[in-house]
Amino acid sequence: MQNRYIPVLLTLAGTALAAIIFLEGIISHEESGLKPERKPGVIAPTPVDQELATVNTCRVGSYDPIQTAVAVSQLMYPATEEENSPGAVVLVNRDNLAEAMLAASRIQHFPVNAPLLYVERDSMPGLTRGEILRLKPEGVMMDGNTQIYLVGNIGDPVLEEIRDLGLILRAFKASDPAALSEKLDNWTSTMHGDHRNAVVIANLDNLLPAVPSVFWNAHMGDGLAFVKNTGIPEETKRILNRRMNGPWIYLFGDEKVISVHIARELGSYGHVIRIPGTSLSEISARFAGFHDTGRDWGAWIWEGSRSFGWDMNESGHNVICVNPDGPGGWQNVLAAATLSHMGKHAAALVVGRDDIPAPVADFLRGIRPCAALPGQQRLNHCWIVGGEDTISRVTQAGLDHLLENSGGIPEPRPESKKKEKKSGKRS
Amino acid sequence: MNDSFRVSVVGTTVAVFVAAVLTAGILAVPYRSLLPPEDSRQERLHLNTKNTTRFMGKDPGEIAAAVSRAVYPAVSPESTPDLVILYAVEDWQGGLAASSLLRPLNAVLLPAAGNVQKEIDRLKPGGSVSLGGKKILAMNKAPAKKDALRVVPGDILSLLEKANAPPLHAILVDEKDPASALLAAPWAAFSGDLIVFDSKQAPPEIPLYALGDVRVNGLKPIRGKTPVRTSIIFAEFFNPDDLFGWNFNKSTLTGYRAFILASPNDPAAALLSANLAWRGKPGPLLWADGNRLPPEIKNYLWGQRPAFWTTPSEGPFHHFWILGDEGAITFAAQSQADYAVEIGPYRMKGPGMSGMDVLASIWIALGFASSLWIVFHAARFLPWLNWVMKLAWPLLAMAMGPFGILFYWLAYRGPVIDHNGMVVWDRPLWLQGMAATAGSVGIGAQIMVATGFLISISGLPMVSGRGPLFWLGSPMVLVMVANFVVAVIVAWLLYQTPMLSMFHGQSYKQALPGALPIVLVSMAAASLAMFPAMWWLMMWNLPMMPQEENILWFGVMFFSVFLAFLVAWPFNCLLVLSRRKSGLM
Repeated sequence: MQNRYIPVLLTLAGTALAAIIFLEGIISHEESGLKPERKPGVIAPTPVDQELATVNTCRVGSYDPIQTAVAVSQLMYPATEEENSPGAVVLVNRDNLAEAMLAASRIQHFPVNAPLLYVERDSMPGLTRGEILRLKPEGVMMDGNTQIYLVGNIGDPVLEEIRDLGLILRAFKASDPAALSEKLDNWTSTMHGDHRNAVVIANLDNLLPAVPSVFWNAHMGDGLAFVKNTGIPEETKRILNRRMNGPWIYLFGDEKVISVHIARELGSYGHVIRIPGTSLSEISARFAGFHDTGRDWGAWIWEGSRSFGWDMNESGHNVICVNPDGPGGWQNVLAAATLSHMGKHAAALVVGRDDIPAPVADFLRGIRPCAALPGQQRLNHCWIVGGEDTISRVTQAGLDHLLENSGGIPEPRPESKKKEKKSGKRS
Repeated sequence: MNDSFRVSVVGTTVAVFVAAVLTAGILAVPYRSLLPPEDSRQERLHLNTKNTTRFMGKDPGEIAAAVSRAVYPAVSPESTPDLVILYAVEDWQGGLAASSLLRPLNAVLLPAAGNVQKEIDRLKPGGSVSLGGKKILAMNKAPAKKDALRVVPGDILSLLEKANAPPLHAILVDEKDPASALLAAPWAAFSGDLIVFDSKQAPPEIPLYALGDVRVNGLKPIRGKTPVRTSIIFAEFFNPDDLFGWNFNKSTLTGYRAFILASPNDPAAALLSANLAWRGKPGPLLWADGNRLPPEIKNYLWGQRPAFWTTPSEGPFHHFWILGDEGAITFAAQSQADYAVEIGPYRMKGPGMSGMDVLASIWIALGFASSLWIVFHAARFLPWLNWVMKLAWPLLAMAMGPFGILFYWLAYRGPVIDHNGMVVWDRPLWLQGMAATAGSVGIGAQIMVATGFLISISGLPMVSGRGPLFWLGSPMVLVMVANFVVAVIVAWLLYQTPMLSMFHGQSYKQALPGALPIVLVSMAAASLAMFPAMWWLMMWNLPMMPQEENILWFGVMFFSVFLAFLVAWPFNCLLVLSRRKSGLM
């Protein structure tokens, strides 16, 4: 060995040694995310959810929104490996619809990638706590490895409990939903270095018609801002003014939900488009097929188009059937928003406990698959959210039937039927 | 002399640190995937996932009841079967033969076990018109009530003809090998094809296929070396002439898929796959093996992972049916199946690795190989190379993919000359600029990458803002600023100043003030390419922003170092021309 190689080899050996030490350090740093070394116990799975699956539908959740949110989170995040674990967990107060809508619309999407779970104003339900421990959220790289987003008016006892778990927390608190919407808009726009030019407008005095937009936003992260029957809050005006291009403003429901007067006033901030409908079912079915595209921005040699809405108008799509009139109320509906974020990427449809409203049935008939070769088949899937007192077994079977492709395999060409008998070879 | 020696020791240590951080980060990517899945014994309310549905039960009877409820809710005429077909639990052969009847007779296949009567009572089968109103069909010696229609496999063909659904193909299977024969069950249910255990039973007028280890003259069986391989080969099989086979493979343009996962150790449960293959989401049976998804199955699934072109809700979507409880198929295996069929952007999907990941890995591997080669080449043939350049070249080459060695060769192929008692290389101006660029970018840009990596591990900072300059608070901008500041300070104190002092024969302190503007200019020039490239690739071009845990993160960073090198090059030519920097070292 020549002498001149010795320093080189020593340096390389030092590099390799340091690299091994750092490697161990990186891995153990990543694994130390959740402080308490709590081994998850084993509880027998609740058979209810499992047994109520059909071939085109799968039921998730129960009458209890806290349980439904946990069941949905478990559906989306197996949390057995890093790839199937969430970045964080979003916690909302179960008593505030506007805050829950904002949390699902503005935080859940990538890069955060988090399920939505409920807390009480002043306490954390045991089921929610257990789910956080099971999930072991990795932390959001783009936001200081935050593991918990606490959204809305939630009391100190919950904050304390999260701190006790040793989790990195970011809390969004504001005096009212309009102020919260601005806070979240600033935060998410800073994170992306850009504003989302599509903005959903919901009426604080009549929020439910805009709930289908929350599912879209859990999947896309477009904007959400509020108006009131009496006018447009200053925060919303500022949010709309901050869009360099657009904004493209989407109103859910007819003029009884958001008046013509307010729609005209919104028109002075950006382009207003309405998704009409007189009932929640009709709005949800219209929006599942809705798609708005075209101009967003352009400059000399580059342009970007806007794209808002699910655009489900042919076979091979998935839906989430919800019923805000069930025992879980709207809480059970919002708990399912995570279902749109990953996996089947489904749109929400509002049904009754015992009936499939005509607009929903029509929509489902439009996406029903037809017989095809197995390699080219198209399949639909439907999530049923809540227990049988929310959506009955009969309704579920009806939905299953509407989505069913009952055709068989197409017959081969007549001439090939007569082919010689032993053709079991690939030709 | 002592001073400069001390600086060189610190400089070498820092360079080793940077190289080690980058090496560790890159090695951590494959290392993480080798870590075993977490203990699947979790507190869970249910065992379904977004892309999988499990039918559980302690025994085939319970699993069958769960499957039967899913196929036939039995709350309305259209969700009720006409017929229940019973097979004895140990007689999977009888049940398999009856699979062909499910579609034409609108029937459900159940093992005659335990409380099967309870399930029959729930279903209340409507009665089969083509079988004279019979509600129960019992295969072979399956225990059943007296009014059941008793049938042996030899009767199936005539029953199919009676139902006006003559089979289009026949499948020959081995009656002693459930692990291959049962794979035919879902296909027979889907297609109505006839299953035979002896080639003589096959009607001569329809094509015959052989599945598993069966030998018949002139027939090439569909089979693999193991049951798992056979299940994959059968799922892929397709004969375009007579439309036989699932054709679930990567060459199918696009298609929605369902797969059924069962354990080969429980034939009675695996046979239930037939019920799931003609309504809802039909698909082939795949074998699970042990407590993880077999690697062949994973590769098979990855080869046809669902990818979207425009938006994730466009599809296609894949689904898995899981037969049995966690004793048969663990939740960890189920989760791997769930992840393997999750839809993702086209550019980020691929068999095992996406195309982008492969490109990044090749670029990085070439970079490391070049880096090592340069280390030894410089030690052997360029003993006069100063210590800064000896560190800069390998660091630079690490990020340059295939180009590191090329630039190194361009820099040192010229003749050496004497300069103030120091050996330097005679080069034209454009190469002097290149060598000067290598000195500053090689070290400075790699310090930026290492800093970015360390910040990413602990999470990027962000300052939520509202004015027109809100984007300055974005995590990407803040990390870029941090990278720039760290790189300028370190490069100035440890590398540029000693370079300058060596070239001009000044002391370290004398060279210090002059080196700062040079570092600022050359790092700014490098950043001019590096930061927009990072922003463009990470925020706009890649559908999912890569994290420091992905190989693509390093790919993006190294590629932007390469672009930084190209952009900083002309600026360095100007610095050399104005004699602020040396391009001869």
